[in-house]
Amino acid sequence: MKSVVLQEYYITKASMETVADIFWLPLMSVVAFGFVNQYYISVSATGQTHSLTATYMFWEFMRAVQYTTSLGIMWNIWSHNLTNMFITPLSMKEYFGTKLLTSTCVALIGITLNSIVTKLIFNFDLLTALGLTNIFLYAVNLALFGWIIGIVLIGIIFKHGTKVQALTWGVIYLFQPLTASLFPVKILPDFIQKISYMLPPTYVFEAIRANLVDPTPRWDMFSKGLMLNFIYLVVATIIFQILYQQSRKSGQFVKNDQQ
Amino acid sequence: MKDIVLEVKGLTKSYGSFRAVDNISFSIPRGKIIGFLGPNGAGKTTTIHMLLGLLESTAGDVYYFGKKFNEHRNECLQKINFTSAYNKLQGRITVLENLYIFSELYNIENRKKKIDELSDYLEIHDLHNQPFWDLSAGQKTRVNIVKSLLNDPEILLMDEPTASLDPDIADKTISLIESLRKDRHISILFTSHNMEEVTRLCDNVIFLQKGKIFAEDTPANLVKQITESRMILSFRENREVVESYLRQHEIKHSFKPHNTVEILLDEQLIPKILFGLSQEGIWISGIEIVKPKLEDIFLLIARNQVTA
Repeated sequence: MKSVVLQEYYITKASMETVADIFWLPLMSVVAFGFVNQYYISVSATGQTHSLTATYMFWEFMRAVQYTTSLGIMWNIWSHNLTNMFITPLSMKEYFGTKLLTSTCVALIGITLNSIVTKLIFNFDLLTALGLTNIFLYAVNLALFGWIIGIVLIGIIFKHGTKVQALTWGVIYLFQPLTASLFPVKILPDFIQKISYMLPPTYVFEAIRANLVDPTPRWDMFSKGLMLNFIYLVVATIIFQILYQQSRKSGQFVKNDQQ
Repeated sequence: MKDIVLEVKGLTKSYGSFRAVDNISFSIPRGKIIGFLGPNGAGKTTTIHMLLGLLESTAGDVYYFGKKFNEHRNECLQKINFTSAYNKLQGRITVLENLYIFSELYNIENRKKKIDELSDYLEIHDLHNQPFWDLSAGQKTRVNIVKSLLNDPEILLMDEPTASLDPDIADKTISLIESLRKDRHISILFTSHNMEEVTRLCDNVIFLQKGKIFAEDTPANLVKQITESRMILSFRENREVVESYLRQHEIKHSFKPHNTVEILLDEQLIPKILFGLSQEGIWISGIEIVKPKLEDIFLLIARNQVTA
């Protein structure tokens, strides 16, 4: 496990684009949305002040978990080091277990940095506004979902190779409107709302908006999100296993290292 | 059984109706270097990938140290390693950082001492702080070999380790592999397209052709399959007389520029031919006898000009 942590650390500090993707771009987005939010505050009196800033910060948290999970494999493929990694006693289970931890840590650093900046610029203190318990509950469900998407994407890349690598950073944005990350679910058309409520992050973003008015933890939303996450985790694990086996059978797993 | 490090039984890999590797069986005794040869597409690399568990076989079994690989994967992988000209380490991070990662992956005790010891052995200490992608091909090969020795493997799979190296660095790499066997008693499965390297290194050679084992023997015994040597004669004049003599005795030959003829013949006939040509009044100014080499066998097999 320590080896995967070391690799994560060494590569991140040596890769400007990773630092930019994980820290710089989200920071700039949060700042931009913060200004948008300020505008809304001045023109409305909904009581949900800073909801856009808060939900966007957590959206970026989830995106960072998914991105970091998937990118670890991409670095090994790009460096032709994938087979070297998996001819060691390291198992896929150990690799992904460690990736959940490291990607969550990276995402936590990102959201901490963003919350310091929003406090300084917009006088919005995420910790005070939502409380540590709520933040922990959000982080659990968002990290799990980001990880689930990351696992499936790695399976797809193992099976189809680098020609689908853009999915690594692109597919998550499909969930931005579907999970109602930047606006209440009720804004969405009815048929999309039904899809939204099948996605764990929706319950997190709804809980954030609710907790900005009343900080009492929304255990109901947390448990619904968690239950869905466990179902998706089982499905994602099965999908990954199938794709991984297919890539080992077709030879694509090794070809990934030679492209 | 005790001294067999790797045993392969009926290993097969099919892609639809195409058989890339077709029911091959072989074993590698401890401390031996086995050459795994064949033309491109013969199934060498496919076999190595199956031996490493990177590619799923269609049929057959692989045993390391008497244990079935599929059932004792982690235990086996702890004692084997692999190096190839085509695999690299993480390019952006330094050599030392890469080696730290692999020493963790293999759970090496006292990893600093191990990395230092191997770095001394392969003279890569001065490369420790350089990003891997800044290294030359020869330096990368040496670093890859250090990586492959970190876990003190009992068997090393080497897929064309000298490909893309200049002759000097390739020679040093081969010397290094020789000393690995001598100092560490490692078993090695070695693929290369350089037959001189194979002759120099390998105790035994397995020739693959179209996914099947075509021949398996020592390099010397394989070469004995070719009974004809090449004799290159230079003479001063009278090409017509030389040609007439060779035709008369039904000896395979071809003329080269500058009164030179290349003759294919059994070595035992050489004195008779030389004497015969002298009797015909031919003044022989130069003789070169080229004995068959492993490369000749390779070419014959690759061109389907020899039977198993």
